[in-house]
Amino acid sequence: MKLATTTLLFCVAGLLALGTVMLYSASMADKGTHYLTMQLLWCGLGLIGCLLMASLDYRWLKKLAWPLFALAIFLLALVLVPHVGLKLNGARRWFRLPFGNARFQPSEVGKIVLIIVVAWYGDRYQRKMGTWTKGIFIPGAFIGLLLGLIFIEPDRGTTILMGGVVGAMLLLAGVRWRCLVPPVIAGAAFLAVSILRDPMRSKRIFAWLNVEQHKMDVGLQANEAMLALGSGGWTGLGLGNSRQKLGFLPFHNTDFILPIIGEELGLIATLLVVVAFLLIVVSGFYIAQHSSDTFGLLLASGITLLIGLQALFNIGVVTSVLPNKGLPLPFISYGGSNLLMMLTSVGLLISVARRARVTAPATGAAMEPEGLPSPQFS
Amino acid sequence: MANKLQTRRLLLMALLLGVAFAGLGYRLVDLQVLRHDDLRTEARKNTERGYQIPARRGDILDAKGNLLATSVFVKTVCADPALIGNRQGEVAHALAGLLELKESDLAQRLLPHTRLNERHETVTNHYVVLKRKVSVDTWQKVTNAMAQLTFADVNEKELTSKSQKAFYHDLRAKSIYTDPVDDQLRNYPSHSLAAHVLGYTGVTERTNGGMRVLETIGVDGMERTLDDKLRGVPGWRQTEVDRQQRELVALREEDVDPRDGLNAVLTIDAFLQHALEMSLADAMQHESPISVSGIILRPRTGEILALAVLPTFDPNNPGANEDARRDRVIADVHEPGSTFKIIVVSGALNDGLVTLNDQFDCEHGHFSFGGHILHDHASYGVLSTEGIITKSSNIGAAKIGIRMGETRLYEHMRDFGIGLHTGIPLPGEVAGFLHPVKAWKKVSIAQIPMGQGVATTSLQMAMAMCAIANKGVLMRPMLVDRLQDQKGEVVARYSPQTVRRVISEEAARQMVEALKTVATSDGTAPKAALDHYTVAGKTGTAQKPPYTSNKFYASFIGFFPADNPEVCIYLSMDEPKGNLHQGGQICAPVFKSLAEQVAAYLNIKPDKGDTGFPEFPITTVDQAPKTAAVRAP
Repeated sequence: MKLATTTLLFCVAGLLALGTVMLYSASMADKGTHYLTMQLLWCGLGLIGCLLMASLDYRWLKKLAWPLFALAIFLLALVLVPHVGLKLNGARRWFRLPFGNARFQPSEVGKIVLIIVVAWYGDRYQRKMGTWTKGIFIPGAFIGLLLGLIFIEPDRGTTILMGGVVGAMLLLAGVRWRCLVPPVIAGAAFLAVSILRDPMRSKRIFAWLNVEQHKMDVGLQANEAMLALGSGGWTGLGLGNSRQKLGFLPFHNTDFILPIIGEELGLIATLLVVVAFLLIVVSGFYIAQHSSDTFGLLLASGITLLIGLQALFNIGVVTSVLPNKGLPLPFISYGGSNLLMMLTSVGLLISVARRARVTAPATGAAMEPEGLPSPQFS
Repeated sequence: MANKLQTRRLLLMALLLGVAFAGLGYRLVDLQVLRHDDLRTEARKNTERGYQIPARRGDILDAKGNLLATSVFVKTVCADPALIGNRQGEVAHALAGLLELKESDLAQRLLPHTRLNERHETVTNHYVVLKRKVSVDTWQKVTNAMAQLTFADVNEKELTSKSQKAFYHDLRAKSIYTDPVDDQLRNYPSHSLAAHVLGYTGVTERTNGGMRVLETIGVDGMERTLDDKLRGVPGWRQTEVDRQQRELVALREEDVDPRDGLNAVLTIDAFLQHALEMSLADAMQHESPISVSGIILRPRTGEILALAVLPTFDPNNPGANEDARRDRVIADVHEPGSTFKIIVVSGALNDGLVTLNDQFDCEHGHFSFGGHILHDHASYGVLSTEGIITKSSNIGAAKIGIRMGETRLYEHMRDFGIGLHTGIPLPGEVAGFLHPVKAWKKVSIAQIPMGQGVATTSLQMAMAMCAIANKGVLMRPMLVDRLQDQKGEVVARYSPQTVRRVISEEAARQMVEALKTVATSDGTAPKAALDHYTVAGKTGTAQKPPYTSNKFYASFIGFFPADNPEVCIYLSMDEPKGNLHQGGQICAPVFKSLAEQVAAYLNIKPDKGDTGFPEFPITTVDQAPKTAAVRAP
């Protein structure tokens, strides 16, 4: 357990460090230190959140599950109101914060709250998860409500991501495979229809299917991302030497920061990022598997899935394996609310780990739930 | 603690995620290593740019350093419609006059156009070319006009909004700008002066590494012959740009300055060229020929001091009239007529076949030979060899030719350069026609000595006369004196080139004696006689074929001072329309007036008359450009 927590923290810290350096490298040419300062502010808040969560007992969240859910729904509904929510690039996803030029994305709160609520529900109705009513319809209703609000912002990327996360959590909670099939099909069909009805999204899909043909229009971003990665090679052009960040690759500070890492630091750095996320996933699942209760298991695996899937989607998008979605790369991309939420989630994971039951059948050592040292933050 | 089902499902998910991450890892290897070379090449196209920096085309100067052709850098005036807002009217009004554009057209072009970019954002165009080849002066006026632009409906002093102030500032300072790379314009400050020597330039488009480059190339004349010397070597810059095409100076890899073209200094003298052109223009007005040509040379070196053809053209704007652009002196051939007699007579003197005093019966103007009857323009009895030249007797010349024989006559003509290129460094020279002996008819031996049945260029005849003046040595005509760099350092100097000795020095001396008699009251060209110099020369009045047409090609070639020749002048008129048509009547007076100016200008030492220096004809000096007159030695 000690190893898992250490690995987790080491990877997160490594990604944060790399992300800070790369964010400055990617944005210094056009924004100077603005993004770096903002990101460091959010990172500080996130680390406080992480420490707070790690030092608290995650189990009291059970009591807060429904109030948190209500708050998330309220915020997600509020952001849709014109003049309250901020509209950028055709989507109404942000609140403008009073200080600085900062923005806050309530769907990030929605993500973690949804994981907490589903974990609570899975823990509460453990025995009945095999039934249609308790296993599918009731959770389907509140999940659908929250995801629906995110969907109409619109933010399909987050919707699909969270759909995957909660689906997996329900499976872990005991829902049968065959019960999960109809909602998955329904969700997929609904998505397909909505994409086909939205010309911009369907263009993105077609561009993804045929990158060469669309490399000057819709597929430009995907193509430029590939060019950035490709020109990096094994060791990259050197820190700060990216050319694609000079306006050629749009969103190179946020969702498309990995290609800049690949261009400047090469395959070695991009593979290390992939390995780091893989290690985070493995440690997260290890923590989940050893958690002392079902709530902890579901919470830890939900958070792990969220981090893992979001990284997977982001890397898939920037390497043109997946169509363009607009999900940030955890711990690295510029984006305050996401970073805050991610670090808070890591705090929860550690909280779960601290109360995990370490079984050592071979030695028969006593359980030492409190025996773990506090995580070291540097 | 997880139950078995949960453990199994957790493991499954971990496995799936692991496989997915491994797949992405492979994808990264594929992109970053396997396709590295292709993608890197593609990515470099985004930023890497090669610019060519044009070299300034060299100037063409006359022998005294006067500018005949030069290149001036000119601006390409562009506009950024996005900065003009809705002020097209005022801007167009201010600039239309300066740029010589129609105000309504200009206003139209200043209107912003929008389009969707690849990110589906609306963008406005920022680059519209308003006019190319705008002089630096005009550009200065444009910037002034923009700076002083006023708008009647706003009081700018009362504007408080920052963005409004910025708008008016940018509109004045930035909305009209020029291309960073200057264009260049070939300029001939003296317009048509020496047009046929200078030629003209054209612009071609060449692709250089995917970039279109406009290049000035010489099309005709010296511009073409010296193109590779004048052109220079363009510089280049290998650099990188960002998405807005702004250069990233720190990443500049290569930056090589252009090497400007060399300046060419010609043997042409602008003053003499001007004098010649004025004389020709005068002749054109009086005799209304199709064309009139003149060449002034130094016999000793073959240097061409002036060469002119009318009708002419302005190289600044060559126009579509190919007849005017053609350098008739080297590109047109004529039967030379009597001037050709110098070849047969000097050849015969050289071979010792005749002496100047040998007597020939000129048959009183009717000589039957080879089934043809040859005529003289007047009836002559017995003439000496010298007299044949003095009076220009066709029958006499024919008899000398017959005495010489076909082979020797052919060889002498070849030696004098007939049927061969003179080697003048101008494009488009033709060799004329000299048929080989076996193609001759029986009468040819009698016709060719008097300048029929052979076709020469004006320059060939001038060079042949120069050979006699130059003690029997034929020179190659010379137009370029030297090449020098921008600082005036001489890079290459051209020296006179001997072609061959044509006749012996003694034969040449005797020939000069005979030619001296032409410009006397006994000869065919008394009007060519000068007050202070002995003139040696020969007239020519060729009837243009068909010989019944009554159309003539009149010419006079003369040099002076006869025994120590400084200058040889060739003059010809094609189809003069006046009452007179003989070379001695219409070309000789032009020679006289021109020769007086040349002698005065070149300060040639007189060889006859009483005073040490000729009286300067004041009126003609007044006609000359003042600068050239001051520079006279």
